[in-house]
Amino acid sequence: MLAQTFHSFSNSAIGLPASVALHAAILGYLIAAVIGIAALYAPAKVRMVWADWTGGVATLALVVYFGARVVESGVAPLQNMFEVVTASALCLALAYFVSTRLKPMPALGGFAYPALVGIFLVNLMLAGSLTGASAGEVANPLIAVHVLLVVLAYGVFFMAAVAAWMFLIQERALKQRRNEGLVKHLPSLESLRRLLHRTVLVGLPLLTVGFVLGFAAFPPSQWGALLATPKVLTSLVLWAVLLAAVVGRFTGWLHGRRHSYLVLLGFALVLLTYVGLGLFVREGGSPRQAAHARTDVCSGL
Amino acid sequence: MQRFVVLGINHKFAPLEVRERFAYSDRRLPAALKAFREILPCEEVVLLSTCNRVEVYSFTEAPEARNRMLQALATDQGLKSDFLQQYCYFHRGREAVEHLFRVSGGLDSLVLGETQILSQVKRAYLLAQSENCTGKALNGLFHRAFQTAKKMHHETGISEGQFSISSIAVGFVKRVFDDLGSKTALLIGAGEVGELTLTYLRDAGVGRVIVVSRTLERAREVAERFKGDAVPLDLLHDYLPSADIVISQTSAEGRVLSKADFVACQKKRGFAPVFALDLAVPRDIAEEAAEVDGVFLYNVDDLEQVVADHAMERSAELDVCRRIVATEADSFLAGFQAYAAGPMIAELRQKAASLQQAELERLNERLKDLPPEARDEIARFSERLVAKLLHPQFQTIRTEAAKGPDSLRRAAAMLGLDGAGEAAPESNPEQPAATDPSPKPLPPKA
Repeated sequence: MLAQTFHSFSNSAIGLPASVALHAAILGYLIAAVIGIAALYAPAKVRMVWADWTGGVATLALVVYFGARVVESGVAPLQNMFEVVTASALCLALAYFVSTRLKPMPALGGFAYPALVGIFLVNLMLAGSLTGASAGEVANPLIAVHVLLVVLAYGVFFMAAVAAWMFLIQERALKQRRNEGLVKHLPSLESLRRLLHRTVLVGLPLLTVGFVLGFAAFPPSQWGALLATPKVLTSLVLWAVLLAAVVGRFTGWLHGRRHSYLVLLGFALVLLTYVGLGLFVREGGSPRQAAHARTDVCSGL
Repeated sequence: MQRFVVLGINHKFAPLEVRERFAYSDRRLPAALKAFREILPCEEVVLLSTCNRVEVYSFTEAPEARNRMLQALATDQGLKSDFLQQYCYFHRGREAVEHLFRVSGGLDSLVLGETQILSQVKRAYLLAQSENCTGKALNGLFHRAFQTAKKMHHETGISEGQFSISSIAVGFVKRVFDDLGSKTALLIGAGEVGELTLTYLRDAGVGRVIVVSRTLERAREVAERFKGDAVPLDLLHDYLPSADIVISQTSAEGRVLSKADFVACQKKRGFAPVFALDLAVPRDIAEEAAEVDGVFLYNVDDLEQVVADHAMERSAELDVCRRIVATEADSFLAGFQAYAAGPMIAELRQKAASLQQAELERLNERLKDLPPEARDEIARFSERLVAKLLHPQFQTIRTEAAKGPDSLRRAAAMLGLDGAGEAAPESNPEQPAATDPSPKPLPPKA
């Protein structure tokens, strides 16, 4: 089903060079994810640098894809939701390469590449609904930037969740005085703590601005309807949780494991918002649909 | 040979909670040595007390050495010997010799092949020597132990790599912190392993060093070596919140830092991680401090699993070391047996000299007219004759002595001598093998 969705989308919507580049990028990230996970568990046999090379090639293919799309369509390559989410994945990949260049963290690739594959999988699963209906919607630049920022924020929160997860593993292992297996290759507790804090600090403003732009794309009369949709409600709860994580961290009442647990809760809400509601609450789940429905009712009256 | 004995507890048979109850501080060692000499009784005794072991080495004729040593150790520490017995091991003769060789070479250590134990054994020996508690037997034994340890370290790879307690501890520190340059290490007390750990941390780039000691002079002395700050023990709690790495190795009998100390410290630090390494026995830091968020508390026993992993990696080297220990023990015991023949040779020489003297006097009585020159010549002749006659006998005694005490006794009987040198029985008189209450090794940590 996944392959069919992917093929129908790529064959019908984009040309051959872009399709090849997109396939290559997704395949590259998939291989990088496998190598990255293998490097986490057996660093003596598999090196993370191989994953980085593969991921680098995949990222390059993604850039080629966007270039091909510009040539094909003659406009900016953010014509539908698929492309907006793909652009967010590209931003996340570039952020990964820049951050690891600034501060090497060999184990991070083992989590970042699976994250990218996850984003593409979800994107492809939702591609059918995104290509047609949303093509016109993203013509509104506010919506395009809203989606870009929110997906980017979700990607950053994925990194935060990964850092929180690694922090919990490392912290538990150190408390239990274990020194074997995966834990030896994880980043230090201090760098995970710092990564966790910084990713939340970066992700929260992205999410906040993304939300504001999302509301700004609709007239104020439709905001009530927007707030009543499950996706927007869950997103607001997510925003509140992440705000609590930041405030708690700054005020000092939230630290160590509790801080990590709260970030993981935030990411669970991301999954619920981005994947769960997207897959299972189609009717009325989307803020746009809800807003349009409310407008129709109003105009009918 | 059977007079070499050792009784002790170590990390293999006794958990840290038990070991810390038997540990001797440096200032208690001289009195303990004297007490052992009186109780055993014996002339030669060495007391080794480290964080992983307390062992009493002796050269004694006491047939009930084990029970007496057990009783002495228990009395000295205010405990019941029954309690101590379940954790103690006892070796006699060759086993005792091999045990000391293994200990000195680090084969019996928590960290296989570590070299710190050799200096600890040397220090224990020098202390016993300065207290006049060693003689020819233990002097010979310990010097051979030092040679054997050096041989193992030079001829095998047993001590290669980063396998000391300190280096393993620094490995854990690096899992907590990535940038040691901005970190502060606080050393409480000035033990050898603590200082070594600080050296490793310095090499790893730790930013600031604070040394806390009971005496400011000692703190300054250590701090100077690490270009750090010296602080008296009274100000420990003021400096604790600024420390990211705490290493404690004092000789205090009680706890130096409690859980409450760390709770207060962490509140001030915003619960930033703290790595606390307790190298002291008895422990300096309350075990409950590990429950505090952000505190990672390690003691010497916690490194056991890591050490076991390294031990597996070097099992081939271990076999070579075991062969060296066996060879050196053979060589030492053979030499010691030959040395033990000394009293018998002296006795034989004495007997021969008496006979020679008696015969010379009788001859002088009969030949009173002999000039003094002739008398002197006869005396020299008799000495040469006796020496030549005795030479093969001495050789025989030395050869038989090298074979063991039984052979030596047979040779003594043949020559009609009373002394048999090292005449202790081969078997352990007070400890039948079938009823030997040897302690069981501690199970590996889950």
